[in-house]
Amino acid sequence: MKYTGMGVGLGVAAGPVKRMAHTVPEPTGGPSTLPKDVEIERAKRALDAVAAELEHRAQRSEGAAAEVLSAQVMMVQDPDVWDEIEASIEEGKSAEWAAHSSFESMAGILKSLGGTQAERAVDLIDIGWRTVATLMGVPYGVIPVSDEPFVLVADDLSPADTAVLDLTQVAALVTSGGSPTAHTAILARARGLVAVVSASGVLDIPDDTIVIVDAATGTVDSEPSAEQVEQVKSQRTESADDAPASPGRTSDGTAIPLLANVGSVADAKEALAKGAEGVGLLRTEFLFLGASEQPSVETQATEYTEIVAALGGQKVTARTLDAGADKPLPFLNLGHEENPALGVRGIRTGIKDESLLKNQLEALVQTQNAGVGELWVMAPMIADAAEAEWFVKHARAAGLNKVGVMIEVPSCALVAEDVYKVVDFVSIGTNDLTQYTMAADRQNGAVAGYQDAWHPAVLRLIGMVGAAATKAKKPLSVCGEAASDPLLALVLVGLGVTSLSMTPNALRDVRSTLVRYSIDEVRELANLAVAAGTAAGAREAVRAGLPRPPR
Amino acid sequence: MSTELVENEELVSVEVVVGSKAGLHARPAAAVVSLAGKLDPAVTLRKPEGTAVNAKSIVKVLSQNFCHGDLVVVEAKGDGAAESVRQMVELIAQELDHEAE
Repeated sequence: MKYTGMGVGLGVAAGPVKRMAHTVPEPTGGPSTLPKDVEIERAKRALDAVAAELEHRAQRSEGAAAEVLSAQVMMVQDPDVWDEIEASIEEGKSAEWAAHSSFESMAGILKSLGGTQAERAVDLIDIGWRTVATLMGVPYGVIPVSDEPFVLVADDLSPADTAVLDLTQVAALVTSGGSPTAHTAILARARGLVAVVSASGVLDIPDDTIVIVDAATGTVDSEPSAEQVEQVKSQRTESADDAPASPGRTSDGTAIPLLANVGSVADAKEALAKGAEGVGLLRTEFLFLGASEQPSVETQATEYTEIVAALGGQKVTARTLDAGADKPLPFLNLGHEENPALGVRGIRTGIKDESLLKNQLEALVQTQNAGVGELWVMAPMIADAAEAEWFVKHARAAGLNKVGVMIEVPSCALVAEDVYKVVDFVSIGTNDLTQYTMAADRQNGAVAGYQDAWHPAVLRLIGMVGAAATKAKKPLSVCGEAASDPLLALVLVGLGVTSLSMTPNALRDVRSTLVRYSIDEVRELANLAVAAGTAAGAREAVRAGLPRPPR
Repeated sequence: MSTELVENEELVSVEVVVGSKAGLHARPAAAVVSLAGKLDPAVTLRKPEGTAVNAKSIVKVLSQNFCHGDLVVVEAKGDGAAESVRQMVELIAQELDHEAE
């Protein structure tokens, strides 16, 4: 059987299928230190969050998977289970323990009946663990353990999942949901993994089935011949390039600094090792996702300073917290939103909860003043020049020297000239800019086809920002996935982008492609792309218009 | 469908035979719980000799292990109890697992 999805990259891999498993710590039965009403509220909120997540997955699934998920939603909302949880909390137990023990005891009843009921018991236990994971603010999904490289199959991987995954034994990632720019794909690019996303039906492939995952064709073959598997395995020899990296430039010597997107000290070290000329995007979410309360200014400053110091004096551009409805934080109760991508997220979270932004800016100022390296700071999801000005005012008042914004919302791209009047620099987040320009949720596999930054409409918006940057004589970076696609990177530079920030694994290919073309040539390629009618058309036009092969 | 109305002052109690071949498991159980959530007053289900359980609780409905041909006693109290019970009885008597047909 062949399953079709969207490939990330061009690689191919073979191995046995393994699924996500969980390892949430077991709650203890000791007395709770919180008031009972607080514990009850926590339990309620966690159950609501679990129900919302399962509901969301159910809507995106079909057949048996959708049915199991819908039944799970009913179990989460089961009034009798709730009565048990509430009773446990009234006895002084923690919400974690109450949820865990109530779902376990209910599962026990079903298990004793055998047959179909016993199968549902597994679902109850799963919900119990999900609820505990939500309460503890730890990820639920954890990678399976295996002695040989395997193909990780999942519905989708959340940012929290991907943050903790040990991927050393993963040969390929396959998801039934997601899209080429959703987190799974980003993770795959970052680790140089073969991936196929949005492949409906792959969850039906039994564990340990040997499959071939071909990203170039976007297929997963669950019945390959032994010869095919051997061929793929022997192909998988990675050509390590140990040549020292030179700074990014075009063939005529126009400097285009090639920067890295990082989210931890380890990332920063890897970026440096792979020849990054700085960090174009420091994601600060790592400190917040999974934290049960807001990290203190001191903690934040220490962590940021450590990362900046790890870059050995190179420039680091930090993005203020990009969380909210799309990436929920346990300590920020923003409520459930019907359209998280269009809701309170990015800077909107900071506007709603000013203490969060104020503390983060204060920590960043401490890092800036620590003298370990140059720090620029930008805010995500800015909608227009007024919002940019609001952020700049706050950031300068806090004491930051270089302040910019991200352009990810089409409205902001349209008024880029005005934005440049108030900021020092701009960085374009192409993933969100594409999602909003095309009105297609990047987490929704059903509309994954729209999520393509090659679309001429997206490129024209980038061109508008590029023109504004040229006029203002101020830097313009791109820190979305688009920058890691070597051909698209040429187009971006042609549109006026002055630096590119990407996953460290993409630096080598982008560098070697860029240096083969002059600034005039990439401008011509950009014209071809912008004039196309579709994303595929733009890609084709650029490929055909290359004055010489990319390698 | 064998129904027998035993109405006293408060409790409306009707017996019905499970019409779904797969019993009140999986999909049919979900259908029962969905309907139960909409009924006011709420209904309970039990085996003829058993203890009544909340029909809104998927876990409790599953735990009763109602199989095809089993008798289920549907009960409710208060204003509109007869209507709640009637709707639930009608549902349980049907084949609810449409893919099984």
